[in-house]
Amino acid sequence: MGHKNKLSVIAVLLTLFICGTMLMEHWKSQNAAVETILYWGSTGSKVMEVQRKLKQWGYYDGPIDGIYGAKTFEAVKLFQRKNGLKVDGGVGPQTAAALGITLNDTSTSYQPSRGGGTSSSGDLYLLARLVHAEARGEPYIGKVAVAAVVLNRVKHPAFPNTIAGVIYQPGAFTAVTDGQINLAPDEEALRAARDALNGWDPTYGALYYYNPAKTTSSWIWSRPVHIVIGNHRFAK
Amino acid sequence: MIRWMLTIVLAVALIAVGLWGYNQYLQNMEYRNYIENLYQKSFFELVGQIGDIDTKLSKLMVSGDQSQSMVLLAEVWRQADAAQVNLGQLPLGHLSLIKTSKFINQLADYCYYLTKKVGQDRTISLEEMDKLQKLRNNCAQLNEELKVLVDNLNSGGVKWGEIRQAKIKQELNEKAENLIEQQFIKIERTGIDYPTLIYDGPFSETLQQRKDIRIQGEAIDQKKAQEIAADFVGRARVGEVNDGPETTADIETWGVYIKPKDGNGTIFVSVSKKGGKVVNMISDGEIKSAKLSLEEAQDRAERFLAQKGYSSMIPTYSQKFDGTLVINFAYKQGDVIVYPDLIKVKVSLEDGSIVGFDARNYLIAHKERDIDPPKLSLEEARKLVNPNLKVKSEGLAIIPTESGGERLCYEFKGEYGGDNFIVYIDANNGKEVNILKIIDTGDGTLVI
Repeated sequence: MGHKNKLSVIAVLLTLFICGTMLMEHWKSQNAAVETILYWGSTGSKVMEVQRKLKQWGYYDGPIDGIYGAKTFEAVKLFQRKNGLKVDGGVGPQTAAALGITLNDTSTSYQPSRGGGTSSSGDLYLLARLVHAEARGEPYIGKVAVAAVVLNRVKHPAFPNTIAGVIYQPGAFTAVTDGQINLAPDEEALRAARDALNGWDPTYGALYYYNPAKTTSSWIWSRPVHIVIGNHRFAK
Repeated sequence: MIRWMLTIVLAVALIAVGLWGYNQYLQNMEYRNYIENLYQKSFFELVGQIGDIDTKLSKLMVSGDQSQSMVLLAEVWRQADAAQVNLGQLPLGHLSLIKTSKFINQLADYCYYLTKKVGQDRTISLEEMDKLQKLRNNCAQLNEELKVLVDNLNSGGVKWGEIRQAKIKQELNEKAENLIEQQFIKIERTGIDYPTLIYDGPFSETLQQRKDIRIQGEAIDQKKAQEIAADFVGRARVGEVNDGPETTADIETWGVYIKPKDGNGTIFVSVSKKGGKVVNMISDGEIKSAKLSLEEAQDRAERFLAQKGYSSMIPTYSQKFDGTLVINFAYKQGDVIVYPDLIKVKVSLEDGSIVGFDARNYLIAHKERDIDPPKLSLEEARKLVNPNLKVKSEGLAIIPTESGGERLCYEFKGEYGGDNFIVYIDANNGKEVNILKIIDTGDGTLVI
């Protein structure tokens, strides 16, 4: 009974030991790969850090310029001698540890983007919803034109500078005011929004559109009309 | 007995309805307050920001130090940007805000431009200082008017929510009946004399009134336009040809609707009234399945362009969606890629037919350019690229500037940490002009 117990304890310890060594090895090899050593001729912010520390502790009286020159070299040697380190004038892991700095930047490695510009697909959907709500039943180019007006507004100084800003500007679109914008867009509205985002603009820079049968504003009638598509007049 | 019962039932019903109604009323009030508060927040933030901009611009007038000026300019730019957002949230008609909005946007943009300029170690010119002074005066005036508005709001008890409701009723009606709106319209009309700003930025006046359209040639009539459109789409594809809407914008065009023989959707083609060039074409036909590879599609587009007489066009980037591939072609003059001369071609991946075409940029911008040899050599420019970027290809390119100008640059395509970038170095002064990031969506590339 006791014998069996002992055996299993040993087995567990052995496994732990093996796993531990493997992890250690892994960790070591990873670290070794990115280990940096500062030496004569090195430059950069890490050198400045070293200089700052050495100056603080009175080993160094040169400028903190990030250039590992003769003065820094001598100062490091002095520091190493005083602290019982191997005197080689370079800042390796041991010297760095004694100085209280780390040589590796663990936080600064660049993470590549995945899947790309998701923000643009958000804009696409919002634009498609507006097209769907404002131009249902209009011919296809009439839909592209509505989307193009939104994009022309974004580029124009007299309007907000984002797609959402233009669409949700109070009173700008009836479909937003009455909530129809929240309907799910159909496939055609999505395609029209996409064509507009790709640069197709049947209105040639129009900023407004209106239905002449429903509009009473005299101001809007005074604007130069670029094109009439379906029920909408597109004007600038 | 029955009467009693009825009375009780009715009384209970009345109380229930009353409670329900009261509850609704409370909820309504809550929403109303909530919206009112949002409007108030936007408005008071706007007032604060305009005041702050006023101060910062005044300080700029007496600042004698470049780095200090830069900080102030950046502050104005940031505040003006935020002010623009707040202004866009107020429930006022667009008409009462046009000028104010334009002013704030241009101010932000102008200060951004000057920040960049100072950042490049160039000084603000006397003329620019004068413009800033004018803008400052405008800002002070706007600030004054806004103060009147604040007083009115505080004393008169006008509520934003009420303005919003009135607005919905009148729609785009010009008559404004409320105090706040009147005040804004007064600001618009009492001619704050905003200066015309021409500089290198997207809201520069030059861009807003560009009229250098290059399409030349004989005027054509609508019948001729129909023929040109039918030829362009390809006679074999054309079923029925009809008149479409014409445009009277910077490029005047005839519109032509074409019903394809296969009955799939409608193709709209617009043909310039001068010269008879096809400016753009859109098809709304449905695409059911993608059979072609991207290479095949690109090949089709290239052949199409060559066939239509657009020679020396090279594909720059492309994107795939909904069974189509949109390819951007740029003109190549000698060994220089000319990006402003842009043509977009959309190819159906089902049968390889051309379902979209847009040559507006090309028609506006295209000409044979006199390209002077660059002052910098490729080697010199390469040294200016951040060494982090692993350069994979390089060459000369003309790129459009924000204000519609052109600039000769070295183009370096490269990779950093798994992402792809294009870096542009000015071929004459070595400045890094632009960085584009290429986003690979798996369906072709998107450049931002």
